[in-house]
Amino acid sequence: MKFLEALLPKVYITLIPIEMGTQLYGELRKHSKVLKRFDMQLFEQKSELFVAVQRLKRESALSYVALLENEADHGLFIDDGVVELSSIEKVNVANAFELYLRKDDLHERQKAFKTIGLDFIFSPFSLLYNFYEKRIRSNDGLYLLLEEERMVAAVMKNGVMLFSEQHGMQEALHLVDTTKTIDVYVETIQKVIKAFYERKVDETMFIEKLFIADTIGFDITLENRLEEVLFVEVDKQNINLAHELVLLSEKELV
Amino acid sequence: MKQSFITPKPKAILGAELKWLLATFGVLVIVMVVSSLFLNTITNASQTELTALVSKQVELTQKQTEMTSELTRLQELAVMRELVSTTNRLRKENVKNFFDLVPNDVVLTLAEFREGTLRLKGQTQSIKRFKNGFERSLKSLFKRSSTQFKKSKEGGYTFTNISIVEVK
Repeated sequence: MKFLEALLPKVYITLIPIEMGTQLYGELRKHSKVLKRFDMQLFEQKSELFVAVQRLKRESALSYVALLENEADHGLFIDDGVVELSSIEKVNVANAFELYLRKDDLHERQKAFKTIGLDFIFSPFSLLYNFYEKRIRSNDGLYLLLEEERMVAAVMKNGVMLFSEQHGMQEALHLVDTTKTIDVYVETIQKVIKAFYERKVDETMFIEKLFIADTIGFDITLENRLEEVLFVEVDKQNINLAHELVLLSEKELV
Repeated sequence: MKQSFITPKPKAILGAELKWLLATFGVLVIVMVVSSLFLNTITNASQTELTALVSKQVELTQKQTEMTSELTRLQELAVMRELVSTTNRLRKENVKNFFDLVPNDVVLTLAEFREGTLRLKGQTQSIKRFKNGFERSLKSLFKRSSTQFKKSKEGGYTFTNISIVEVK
């Protein structure tokens, strides 16, 4: 059967929940090559979303549905004895650190998408790690994923995640003045760095470099403001979140 | 690297229609294979039988050739037998004729015919009559004929004659 699977193209369907509904995206791929892309669509109603997903599933006998989990209680797992292990689900990333997701949230999510059936549930931290995987090995610093509604932040040292945090950014993009929007993001990043120092996870670690995976498409102003305010080196790259989720799903099947 | 909090469910690649199609195809393949094996068995049996028949044919042809040779040999022998019979009859007649040639004053004490050579021994009263009579007859029958005479005590002569038949 594996042989047969290798011959067939696979359709990867990604679901990214946002405030207004769920973003649906898909790619038909074979041997790591894109055969067809399906435009991003936003569905407010789950019923409509499910119909669209079922339609996409018909593109191939092999279809995989991945959900980016950004609402539940999740993040870097730190065994501080407070969290009850039976209540969480963990994944090990590169034998370097673990991410967790509360089981109740996991079951709830599976139940909510039972009609279409989920194949993967990924943490945005996994997505951030995979996007920067090669750099993370040799570059310590603060890695950020900037989305319209949230910011995901992780401090990495020697390829290991020391600290994770995420912040809701729903209000920031509603501001008419772009400069103010940028200010909100800069302030949030500042808060993250402050929280990292206050948490005293690694007192020898200083945030000198920021790696920003930007889904919004900020201009150079953001980098300049960060360099001015935080005295850090900034490396920003635009990221297509849905496509990266497809890549992560594909990697998962190898 | 497994980073998903859940694992994908096994995928049913083959739909019901495709499964039915493959099953039908499988059955057809099995039927064809079995038929092929059956036909092969029959063909092999026929081939074996054909080979045996060809061997038999070769054997019979050999026997026929042998029989023909034997028949030819027997025919030749029959001809030879006839020839021998004829020759013997002729010889018998010749011998009878030969003794008819012996004159009254010649007494033969030995007559031996072996390998084309006739040896005669005997007595005669007169060499002259011998040569004019008996020896002339011998010379007419044989290619060569020679006679030696010896005077005997009783009066008369003993002779020894060797006559050779012409060999062709």
